[in-house]
Amino acid sequence: MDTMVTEKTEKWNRRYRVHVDHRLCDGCGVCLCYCKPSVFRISPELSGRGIFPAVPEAPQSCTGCGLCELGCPQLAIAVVADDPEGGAA
Amino acid sequence: MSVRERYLSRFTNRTVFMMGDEAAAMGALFSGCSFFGGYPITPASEVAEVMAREMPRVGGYYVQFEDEIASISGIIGAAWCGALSMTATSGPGFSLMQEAIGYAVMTETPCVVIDVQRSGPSTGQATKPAQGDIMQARWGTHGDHEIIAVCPWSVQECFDLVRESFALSEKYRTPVIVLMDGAVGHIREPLTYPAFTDNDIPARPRANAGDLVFGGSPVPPMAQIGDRLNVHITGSTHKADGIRDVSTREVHEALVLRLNDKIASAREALTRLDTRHMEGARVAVVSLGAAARPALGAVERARAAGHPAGFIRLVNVWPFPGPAITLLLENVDAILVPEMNLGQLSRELERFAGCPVRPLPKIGGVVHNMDEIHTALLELLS
Amino acid sequence: MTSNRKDVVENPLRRYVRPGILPTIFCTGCGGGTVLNCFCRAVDELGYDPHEMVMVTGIGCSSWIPSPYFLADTLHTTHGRAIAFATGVRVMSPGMKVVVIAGDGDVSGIGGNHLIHAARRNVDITVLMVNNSIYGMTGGQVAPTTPPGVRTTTTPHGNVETEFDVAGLVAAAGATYVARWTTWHLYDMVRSFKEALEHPGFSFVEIIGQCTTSYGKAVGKRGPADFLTEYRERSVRLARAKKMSEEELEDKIVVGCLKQKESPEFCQRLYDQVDQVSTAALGAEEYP
Repeated sequence: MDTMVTEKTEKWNRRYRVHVDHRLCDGCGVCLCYCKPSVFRISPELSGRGIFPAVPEAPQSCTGCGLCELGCPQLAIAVVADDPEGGAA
Repeated sequence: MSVRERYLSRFTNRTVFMMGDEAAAMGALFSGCSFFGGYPITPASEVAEVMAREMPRVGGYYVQFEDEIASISGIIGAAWCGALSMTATSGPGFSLMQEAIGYAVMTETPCVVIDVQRSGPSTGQATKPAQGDIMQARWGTHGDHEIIAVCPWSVQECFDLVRESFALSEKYRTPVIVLMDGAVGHIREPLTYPAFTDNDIPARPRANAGDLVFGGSPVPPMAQIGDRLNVHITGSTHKADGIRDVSTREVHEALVLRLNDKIASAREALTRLDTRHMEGARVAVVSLGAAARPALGAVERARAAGHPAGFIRLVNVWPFPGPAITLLLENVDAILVPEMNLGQLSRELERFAGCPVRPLPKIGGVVHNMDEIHTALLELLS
Repeated sequence: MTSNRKDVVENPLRRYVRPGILPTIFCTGCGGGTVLNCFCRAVDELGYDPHEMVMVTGIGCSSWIPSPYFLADTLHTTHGRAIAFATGVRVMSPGMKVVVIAGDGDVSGIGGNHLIHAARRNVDITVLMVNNSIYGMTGGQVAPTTPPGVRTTTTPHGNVETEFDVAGLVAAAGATYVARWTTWHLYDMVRSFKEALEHPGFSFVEIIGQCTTSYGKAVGKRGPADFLTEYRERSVRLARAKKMSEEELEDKIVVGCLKQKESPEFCQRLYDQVDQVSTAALGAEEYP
């Protein structure tokens, strides 16, 4: 389970938490294709499923477009807006 | 009182003169048939034509599909939504339908399939009768399966057996084949209508939440589409809850054995034989459908001259009423089997007869006449 | 693989998926999973109750998209015949949304006849055809949608046929909502699914999606990225395509809503007729 809290982004004034469920992720890399700001990379470490999963390496760059969440063939990704006041959305 | 009951009540006890195909269609109406999917083919087109005219009158649906495969597929889909559904075809169309019939067997979908047999193989003699689909009704679809098939010989029986077929299909949750032939389908005879009430529509056992729809009992209750039970229906091997599992041997065995046992164990209950003049009979003429009509005449002519001839007619042909026939033929020396094919019935009878079986095949689209059966009968008796 | 664990934030669309069934058995990077995802999103945004939906599928990888993954009444039928089954289902179920999801080989190959007749009738069902240009489940045989020259397992010397324009075929046959998108166009796909589901009449969406294994092998693509890049580069939206010449469109995938109109719908016409005839029959003297 890989979650990183974003820094406040200048451009969008919103923070996003990007959750990748490693019990479902099979490392196909489709999220990398859809993601313009290159939030994801393929981890060099094997997950519990025995594959190299996608991890949100640069969640601070996330614009909340949601393409990764919508495109993931395993429905493994959830992108959640982080409330500016500090709580999770 | 439903639209159907109000409409059909006007037919009560009326006698009309019509052809077998038409009587079959009316039989479906009197069974509560609510969906018919059809495609034109000689000599079954009249079934579709009557359904097209009458179904709307009772609030049912007639859909003419683009081919026979769509017809059988459509009626199966409709059945899962609560319809009592039927289609009608002849040999070439019956051949096309085999895959879907297997799907109906595997998913335990109740439906009625009329096959008005005609001379084959292939296009054959399209307008002429035959009885060449007896084995196809049994084994047409691939894999190990059982099937229920019935065989009318008169216009009244076309009506009555179609009604019974709907009841059987619901009771055993299986497709039922009505094996007519072009002669019976196109002959015109009197038909007397019974009374009809909505209670005559065969009941379908329905599943509740948590019930197993594809196992757990010999004939499980049906969850229909729209029951809010997330029913999962598939032709793949499946568990008792309907979800596919092709990897576990026990699952396949349990399913297929149950499907087969369901029908095979009901062989006795399903046996319907029309026996006449069997007291002291030394030779019996065993037949079905159109061939049984001259067969009865030949037997009665022989009996009138003092010969010990008997008559056995199979009204249900699958599951084959073998044990009952073995019993009937205990004291019989030989049987004569007139049939409008090259020996499909006689081959099956050989397994159960316990006495010599003399086939009397006749192909070419002409029904046996009494003389030829009578002559063969006397030969056998001497 | 379900969880109520608080440290795992799940994709909210998983409530539309049969519990305990994920991950899917789709190959890594398969476009089928993406279509499932987008379909669930469309259903969610429309606020449909899945209990009022019925999924009808055929045989092939794409037919597995709803079966067993989408949690609703499901009729998994024979190869190519889903649309015929679905017609029977729809006639008997006026209150339900009938959706067919299947592949190009199933729908436009063996099922071609049922496709064009359902379109002609304008039956109120929604057909989502996932087009991966191959018969994937059986290992990669040539399909009616495979481009010429491609070497598949049954065209080892190169495909000598031309591929179908299925969306065009369906539009010409009488469908009243026709769209084409690729798995690159995620939000477009969701919107199109919503339009198709809401459309009264025969609605058809062709989704060009990647088969990373069987087709990937045939055309030398190493993974979903190669496909998605190609879809992005070759796609032309309809408005722009209309201004391009046939030559310029040669190698392009035209995406968008290609046809949308309202026409008399089959089931409604049937219902109206039955109402009319059954009422009249009570007064008529005619009987067989």
